Amino acid sequence: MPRVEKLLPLLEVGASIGVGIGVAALVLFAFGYNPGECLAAIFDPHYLVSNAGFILSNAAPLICTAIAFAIPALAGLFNIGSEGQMYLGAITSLVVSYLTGNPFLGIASGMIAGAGLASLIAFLRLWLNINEVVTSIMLNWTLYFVVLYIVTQVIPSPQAGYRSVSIPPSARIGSIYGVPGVLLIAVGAAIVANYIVFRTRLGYTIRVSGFSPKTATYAGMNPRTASLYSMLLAGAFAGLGGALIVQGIVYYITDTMSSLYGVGFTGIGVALLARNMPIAIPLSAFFISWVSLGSTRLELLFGAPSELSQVVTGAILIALAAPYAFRLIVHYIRSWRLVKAHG
Amino acid sequence: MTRPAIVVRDVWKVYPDGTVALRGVSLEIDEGEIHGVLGENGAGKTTLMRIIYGEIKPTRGEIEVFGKKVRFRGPWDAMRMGIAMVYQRFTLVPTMSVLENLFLALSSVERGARISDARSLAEETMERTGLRVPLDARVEELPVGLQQRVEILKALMRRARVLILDEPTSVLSPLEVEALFSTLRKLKEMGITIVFITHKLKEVKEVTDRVTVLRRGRVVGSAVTSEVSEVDLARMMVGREVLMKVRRAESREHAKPILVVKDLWVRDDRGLPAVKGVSLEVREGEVLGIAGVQGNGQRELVEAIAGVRPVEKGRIEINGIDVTSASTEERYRLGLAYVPESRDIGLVLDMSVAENSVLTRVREVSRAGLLSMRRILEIASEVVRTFAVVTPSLSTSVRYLSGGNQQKLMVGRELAKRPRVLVVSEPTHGLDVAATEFVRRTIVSFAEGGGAVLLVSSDLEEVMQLSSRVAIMSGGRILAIKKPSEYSLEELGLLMGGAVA
Repeated sequence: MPRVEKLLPLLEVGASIGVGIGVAALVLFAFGYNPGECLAAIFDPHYLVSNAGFILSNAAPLICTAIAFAIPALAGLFNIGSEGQMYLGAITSLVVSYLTGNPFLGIASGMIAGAGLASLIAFLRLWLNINEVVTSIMLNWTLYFVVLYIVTQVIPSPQAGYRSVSIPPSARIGSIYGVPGVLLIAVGAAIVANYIVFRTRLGYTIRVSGFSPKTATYAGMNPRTASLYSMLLAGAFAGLGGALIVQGIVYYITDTMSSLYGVGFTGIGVALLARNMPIAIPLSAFFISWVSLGSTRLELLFGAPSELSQVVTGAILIALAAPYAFRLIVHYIRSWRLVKAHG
Repeated sequence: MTRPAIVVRDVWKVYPDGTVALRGVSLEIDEGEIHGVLGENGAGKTTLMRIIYGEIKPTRGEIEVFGKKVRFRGPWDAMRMGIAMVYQRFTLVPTMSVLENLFLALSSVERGARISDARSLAEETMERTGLRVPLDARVEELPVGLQQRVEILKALMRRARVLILDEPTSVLSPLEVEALFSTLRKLKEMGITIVFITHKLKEVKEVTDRVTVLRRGRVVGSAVTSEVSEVDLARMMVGREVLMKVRRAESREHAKPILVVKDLWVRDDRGLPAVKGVSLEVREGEVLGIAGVQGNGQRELVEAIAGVRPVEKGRIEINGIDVTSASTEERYRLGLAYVPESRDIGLVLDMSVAENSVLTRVREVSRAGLLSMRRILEIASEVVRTFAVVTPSLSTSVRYLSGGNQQKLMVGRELAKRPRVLVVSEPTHGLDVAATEFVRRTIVSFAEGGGAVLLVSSDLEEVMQLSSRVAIMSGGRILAIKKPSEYSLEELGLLMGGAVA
């Protein structure tokens, strides 16, 4: 019995991939494209190999924002605010690396900023009982515009009006033997996150609290502190994601925010696909990064509108994450009600 | 001569986990009577009623309803035969209006019913029975007594001829109980048969015509209520075997008290006083048992002792140290071990056997915030070995262990800490005979080795067998503390039934 049960998540992921691809094929068919050709184009291995650097670089910030969702999820919190935490990390790292030229200070300041924001959200939830989903969504947008303001009004580039200043080369993260440095850092982050979750007392406490706050209290732990720390960690990882984008991929932020927008939200999907297991997150991030790049080929090869390629990515992502997300959401609602009922 | 509404013949029920809930129960419920079914927790009352209502199937035996042999596939079959059930926990949607709830019930038996049908049917039923409820009020805004009346109305709307009420008074205030009783008498006059499940002697005497007493899954007697006294009923309910089969550590008069509780007051989840001035002492080498019907403050008492529930007033000492405002962790460090009543609380089902075996001592197995996997595995294998936990491996999720093995893991984990005092709640709830025996033996031998045990159980036989001294708790108070041999059957029954001896 137990052995079969252990295989179930794998089976579920496999079935989801099948369903996701099926739905994507249906959508493509409905819009008059040949699903076979399109899917072959998306999952073309040659394309994967020739764009490996790009796919892997883009996976790096996703790994970070996915961790930022996974750790609070294990503690029983729904961190939809990784988007905003990542924005704040990105802009802080941009400003600090611009001013100091030091890559380490850039990364560290980004992580601290993200952690600070996340602990504010956690504080509101734990001590004033304001739902973290609500505060997170509002703060996401607040920060979006704060970043936009800083980019266009405070540190605009003297050369081009549509973007911020660039960070100096000394603060940029390069490649080692062709492997993007940001990827190494992100995979390292996933390993560290996994270690924290499964090999430290804090991680243990987080998991017990996520299972049931009552059990945590019984065990002599403080579930509130556990939640707070989980958010603190999450914010730091989300901030790291923002810093990696700025210091390792784009070096500046444009007034469309296109390099940042959605990386936090996609991270949720990545985390759900990895069933919130930090060690599985890099794989899941590569896959999502690959599929979303592949989907953009539809536009190039078949003239499909770019929205359609997003629909295809979305269909695959939803099918992958849905069964697990459903269980998770039911669990959240239950525990939220419990919290409300018992103060 | 009245004919029987329901006849139960030699019904057995064995649950999949091996628990035998009913052992050949036979009884007759006459049409138009109020029939009391009396018994302690675990006597099989609720199982029997769920079988009559078609919710679960009997392992053996047969049931007749109005002279017809029936084999229900589900409650809908029972409803069709005119049987309705009012649960202890209501099955109403709190945010909907009364009418909407009635409509919901109606549409489940009558496809295509409209809400206007529900209104007219409800009004007609209220007219017919005199049972009034405000149809347009939201259910959650109604007092509990009225919500219960909605449940009854729901049953009557479906033309129920037999109404089963499961512990209907447990949630009601005394005034609401009076109102319920007069409703029941009125329904009886209209020819409706009522089955009234309870463990309260006084209520049986007050409202029923006949009474059947269940004990340990057997019928121990059936009688016309007016012909038996409360004392007779108490004796039947409790049974002689609780005074025999002694196996316990004897209290030593001058042993040192390890756990001391003085004038403790604690509130329940709703903020109502649940523990009202309890004082007790648990000494080295003894088992102090707390007997009583569930929901009389036992849970709040042990939670306050463990520090997971705030104390309103009073004092708790462990080993002479005042811990009234100490954290749970500090209490554990001072030698307290606590086994909660539910495995859902005492175990993390998603985590492994190894991780669960250090749940309440995780600080001890970590250094500088890092877990020592070696220490965890050492402790886990000790617990598994010493307490005979059957598990495929230490990394198996606890979820896949049987209830008995989960319980052994939980109790074993606490005893492996070598505590000074063990507080244990419902230690054998839902376990099979072998596991029950094992857990009981473990607890007694801990006491014989000098440990102090506070045992809370709604299983009277368990408390009487294992305890050196027994306290009876009712209504948040300790009514008596004596050696088991000093209680008489009548006294026990009356105290358990909430009567003041």
